[in-house]
Amino acid sequence: MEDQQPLFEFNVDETSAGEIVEMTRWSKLFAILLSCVLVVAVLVLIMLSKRLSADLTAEMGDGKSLVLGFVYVLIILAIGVAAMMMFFLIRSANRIKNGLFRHDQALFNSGLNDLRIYFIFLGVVGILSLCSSLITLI
Amino acid sequence: MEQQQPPVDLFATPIRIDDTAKRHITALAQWAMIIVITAVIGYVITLIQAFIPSRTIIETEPDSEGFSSFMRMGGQSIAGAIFGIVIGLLINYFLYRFSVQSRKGLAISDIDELGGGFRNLKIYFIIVSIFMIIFFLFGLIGVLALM
Repeated sequence: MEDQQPLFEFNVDETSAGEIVEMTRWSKLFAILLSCVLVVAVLVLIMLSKRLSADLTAEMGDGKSLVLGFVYVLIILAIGVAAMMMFFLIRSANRIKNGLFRHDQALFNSGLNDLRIYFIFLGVVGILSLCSSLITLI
Repeated sequence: MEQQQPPVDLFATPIRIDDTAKRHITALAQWAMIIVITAVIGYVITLIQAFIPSRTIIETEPDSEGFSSFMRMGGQSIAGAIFGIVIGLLINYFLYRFSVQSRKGLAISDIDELGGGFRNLKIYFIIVSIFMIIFFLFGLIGVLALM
């Protein structure tokens, strides 16, 4: 007996599944590269922290700790957001690929949901950076 | 003992693009379009910002060595901005294609169109990965130079 399939649902064929699997491989590679860049960024931050502190002391005197604290909070926030984006991208790649290979519809859908969350993060970051550019321009 | 991989047969019980998947892909496509639109507006702002300082430089700095201040400073920033914008537009074009094709694929229930959308998303990730490798190498050189 054939499976009942709702009218507006359609199957993922071999070609499309191949494209999706390839997409997950590249997205995973991108996430791994992004994590490497993050590690390098943290290293640079640690190396430059003393120099930054000295420069700020020369320029601002007592008010430097407040500015320095603000800079560190911003950097840690940026690294945290990037790490979360990376996490969702890697998880989406794994779930979509495993969902396709194990024929697990729920896993496939949750992978798409993770990819959606990654894009939401990217969109919000884009909107925020656009706002900051507009403020700078004005 | 070695762990056995399950045999790969994509047609045993095929994955469907059901209502949940459709909802997620539609949201994905919408956010991709938002990213493209914000990026394009950002490029316009970058271009404006690249042109504005060059005008002030012309007024404040004297010419030297036969080159105007615009040529020395403003020209460099404009060239850098245009280079960045061209790369950004190339990357965002594929995101735009993903957004359009996947939505069209869902609207007409065409898996080939949807697959084409995911192909564009794959190209997007390939290009950003290549630029990330270049960025990573430059960053690594910078860290080594600091040591």
